[in-house]
Amino acid sequence: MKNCNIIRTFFRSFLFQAVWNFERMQNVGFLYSIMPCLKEIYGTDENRLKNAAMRHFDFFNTHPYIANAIIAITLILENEKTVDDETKSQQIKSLKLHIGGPIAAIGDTFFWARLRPLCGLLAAGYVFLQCKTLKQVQGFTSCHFLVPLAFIFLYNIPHVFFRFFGFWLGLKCKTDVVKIISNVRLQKISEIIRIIGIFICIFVLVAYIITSAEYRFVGALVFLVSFILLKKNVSVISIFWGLVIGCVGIGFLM
Amino acid sequence: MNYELLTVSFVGGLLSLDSTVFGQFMISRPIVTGPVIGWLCGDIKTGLFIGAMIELLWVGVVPVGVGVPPDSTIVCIVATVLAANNTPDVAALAIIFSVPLGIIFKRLDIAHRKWNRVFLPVIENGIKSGRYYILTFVTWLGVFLSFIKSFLFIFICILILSYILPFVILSPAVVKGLQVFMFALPLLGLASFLASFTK
Repeated sequence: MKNCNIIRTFFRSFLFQAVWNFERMQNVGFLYSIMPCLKEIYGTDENRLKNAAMRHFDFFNTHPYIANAIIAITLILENEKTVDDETKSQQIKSLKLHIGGPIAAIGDTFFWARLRPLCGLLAAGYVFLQCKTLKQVQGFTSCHFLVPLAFIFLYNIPHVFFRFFGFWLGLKCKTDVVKIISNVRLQKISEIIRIIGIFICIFVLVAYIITSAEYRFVGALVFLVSFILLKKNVSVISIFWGLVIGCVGIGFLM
Repeated sequence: MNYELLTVSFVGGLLSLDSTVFGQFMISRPIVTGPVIGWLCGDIKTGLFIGAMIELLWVGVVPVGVGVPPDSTIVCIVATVLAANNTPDVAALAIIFSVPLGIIFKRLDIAHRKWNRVFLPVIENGIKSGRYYILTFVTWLGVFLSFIKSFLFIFICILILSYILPFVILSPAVVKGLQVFMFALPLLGLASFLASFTK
């Protein structure tokens, strides 16, 4: 495959979820991403190109960051000239079906459930340790522009790394990429992030409550009650409404 | 005012594309949208504060599989616009009034994703007849429709809420309650963070 088409595929994969639908999920994005390379591989044969496009139009769902690895493997398989179309189609179908799910689960737990909350906590915790009310924020001069920038930077290093190296490894190592991704021990890194997150959260919590002069007791109470309720699977939004009513009630009592 | 409203809705629509449609660089997270929208309204610090607050509130909300969570971007944009250059109790009210919008927008998003399947037969026919440009066209149309959806939603919500908010009467007791609320909201966020990390 030509380099320019591979680069086009990489950039097109950013639009992976543009036409996300409940029927076949990311199929449109997948086909859109690999289309330049498919055209190059089957360029001369109109019929085979049609068939190839149709088989990639099937159901497909995975985590958008790791999708690049699957795109790359698919392209390598499509590019093999010795295999006939029937076996190729079977191979690709089973690959997309069997790798998509587990890899999506890894991505969900690592990116959505661990990395993003941790980055969010670091950025927001920094803001709240500097100032507690809107009045104090107005006097907050030190590098307020850096907080969102630091958040984006911190989060996007692993993100872009995964997108890029997933793609690159997929092209270089073919199906071994699954072994490599599972060898990275994302579970272990998730566990480390989890422990770091718990420590930072407790630090922010204690500092936030201790430095507030008036509402120490109320703060501790709110935290404990909402933590217990969340552990009993009450949604954050319901607790939010409870908090609104409770706080206005406290206002009338004081 | 109206010119500013258009700018904010436009930038808000672009930022909100990032959450599913384009890239996922997380510039659609409240901690980033808050300061950006605040900067457009001439009050970057309030934006940062509101953004940090909503970021913490949403920190425990994790999309699993095909589930669609309530949208934090819209909430943050609307709350920041309403709170910018205003008193702290208006900021608290802005957060309270804009949180339901996240849930309404989630419903809208689910409807949109269901509706997206009307494109599938169009593309299929395009492939069968060899017109592959339809695929590119539909993909960019999807991006455009998502943008229009967020743009109009933000525009209408800000328009309605900025008419409603001045009519909310604040007694001194309520103002005091809202102060406590602004103090307690990050604690709810921290609790949800800890709850999701100790699972």
